Amino acid sequence: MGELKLCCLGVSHKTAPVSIREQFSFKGEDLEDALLKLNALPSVEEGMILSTCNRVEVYFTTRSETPFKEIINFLIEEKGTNLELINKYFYRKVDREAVRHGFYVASSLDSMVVGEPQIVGQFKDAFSIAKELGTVGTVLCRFCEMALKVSKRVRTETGISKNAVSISFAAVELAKKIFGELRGKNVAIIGAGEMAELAVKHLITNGASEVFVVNRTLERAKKLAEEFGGKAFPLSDLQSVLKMSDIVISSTGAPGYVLTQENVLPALKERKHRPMFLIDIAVPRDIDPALNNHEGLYVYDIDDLQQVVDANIKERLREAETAKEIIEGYVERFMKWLRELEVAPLIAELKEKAEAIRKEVLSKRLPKLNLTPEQEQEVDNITRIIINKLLHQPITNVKKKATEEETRNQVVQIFREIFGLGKE
Amino acid sequence: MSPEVLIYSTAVLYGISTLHYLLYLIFRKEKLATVGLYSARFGFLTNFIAIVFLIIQNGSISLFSPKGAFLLFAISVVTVYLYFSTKHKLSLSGAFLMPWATLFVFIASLTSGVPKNTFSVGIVGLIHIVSAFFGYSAFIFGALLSIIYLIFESHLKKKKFSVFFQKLPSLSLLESVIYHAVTVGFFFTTVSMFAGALWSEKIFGTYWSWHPKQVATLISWFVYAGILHLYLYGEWNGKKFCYLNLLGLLVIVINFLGVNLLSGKDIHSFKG
Repeated sequence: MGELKLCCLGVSHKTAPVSIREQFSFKGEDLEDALLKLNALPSVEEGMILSTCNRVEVYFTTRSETPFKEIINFLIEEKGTNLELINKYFYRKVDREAVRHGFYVASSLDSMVVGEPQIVGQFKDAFSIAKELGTVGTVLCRFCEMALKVSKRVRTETGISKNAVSISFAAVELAKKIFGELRGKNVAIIGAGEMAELAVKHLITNGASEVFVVNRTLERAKKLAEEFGGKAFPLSDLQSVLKMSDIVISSTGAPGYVLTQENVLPALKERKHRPMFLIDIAVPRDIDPALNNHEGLYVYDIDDLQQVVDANIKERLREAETAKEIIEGYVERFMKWLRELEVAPLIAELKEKAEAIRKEVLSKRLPKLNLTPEQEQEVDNITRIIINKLLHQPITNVKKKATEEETRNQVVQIFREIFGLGKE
Repeated sequence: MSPEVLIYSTAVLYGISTLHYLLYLIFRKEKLATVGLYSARFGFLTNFIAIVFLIIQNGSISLFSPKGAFLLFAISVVTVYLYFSTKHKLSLSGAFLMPWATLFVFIASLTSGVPKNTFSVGIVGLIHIVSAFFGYSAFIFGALLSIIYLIFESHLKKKKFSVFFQKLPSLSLLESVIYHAVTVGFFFTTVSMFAGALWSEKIFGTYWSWHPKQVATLISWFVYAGILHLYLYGEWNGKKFCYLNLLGLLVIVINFLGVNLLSGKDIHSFKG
């Protein structure tokens, strides 16, 4: 029997197109069935499946010399595919690499959008299902708990999920760069459109006060205003809306500019030149770009917002490097624990053996001495201390040696032989 | 221990801090800013102990020697920086401020710590010089933040998503911190002027003698009073407020360089 290995067999957006990934996904009851079948495989000790739209990964522990063989056969049988497909698209990771990969996944470093938070929930779900069905034990439980802990540290200690990576969130981020807090700031939305409405919703959840909805037809404006809890205005009232608004999102289907020098500049003057953030989500554009040259006006069109998103993605990748350093420490710790776990039964056996010898000797010899109960107790304690002190060094050393890659197997073998342990 | 060792360690620590903040501007790694912050904090400690040693060695009057004055200048700049930057997460301003602290300590290491005069300093004299340097430092910090504000604003306008865009919280926060720094500076300058007048009366028997330093400081005081009024009541906010602060800095620099460093042999001369 070989040593215990933690392995990962998986396919993700990095290695395969969705047409392949979807063939292997496990959902609901399928997932439960698969987990139980996986766990029933003779070589698998513990198993867990993480199946999301971007990845399908099987984490398992085994002592088999050919760890992936049974799992692959299981996948072929379960999903009715062939070996070539799996060889082409699946990655196989063992021990340190598998652990590192799992930690990256849970920390959202391996996600399509680095730092997106959904994967943490998905990882948690995968873990809790496996726990419920009892397919995970000491090793994978520890693995998952540590992965979630790392993921939390990465999120709080690096800026990996801090900056906006969608257009509508980028609008909120920019508004905050200009105004600081959004409390007390008013938002106007001119026209309608999915992205503009989403941006308004984000602005409201981030504290923006009032929402003014302007539309060519008052009917539509009223409908949308109801949704946001705002006020509706016809397009003819644009001027008076502008002077009340700090943030203006424009998304009309008009062929020409809706916001021009003629209506924005007087509004700005009436606002006593307090800054205005003008967001143009329309194509063709609604806002005269020349307005950006005026003091206190910040005009961003859809391309500018996309640039913010691109810059933020770069920033996240930069932060991911810091995250990797944090994760590496945990990978080390987990591997150390896993190796020590391997010798744990040996150590327990050694302690049991020593205790048995001690008890045997004491029970034979002690009655002959005619000691008082206090003295007997003292002898008992002394023998205990001797054994503990004697075993302390070999136990620490074998634990330490068990974590060293090269000498591990030999040392454990020698330890077994010297102390006459683990008769197999 | 002689203050020299402490001064050199302070210079090295501030130097390390400066270097890391500059690298932070380039590589944007939070770790670099953390190293910058901690070396500035340790430097603050050695700087403080150096001042204490200098006073023990040569008396309070040694704060009026070039060495003492520049050590005091450095520590007040760093204090102002540590106070505002940790409160508002403005690590980026370290790259602008710490070079000055380093320079001041460097000058201190080259100049003499033996005072030219032997006035009795007392509490009033101590308050005078300490609050004077805190006033300068707060004004300098306000002006440097104004520069940062102007860069940040122009990057927001030009859609340049630089380190300023990524690492600074918001224009409005910067503006309020600048305002806060200027009020702190104004407060300390006022305190320093009153303490100076009281001290002058003790030593020379007159509160006011139209000495160039007194005149220059009075002018600075009026300039900053004007800046605060324009900001609060004249709606000179945003970029205009920043330009005003740069003007204020100019007045301060003329005041300090012109009067303290170039004037003849009197108590305000910190010439080495």
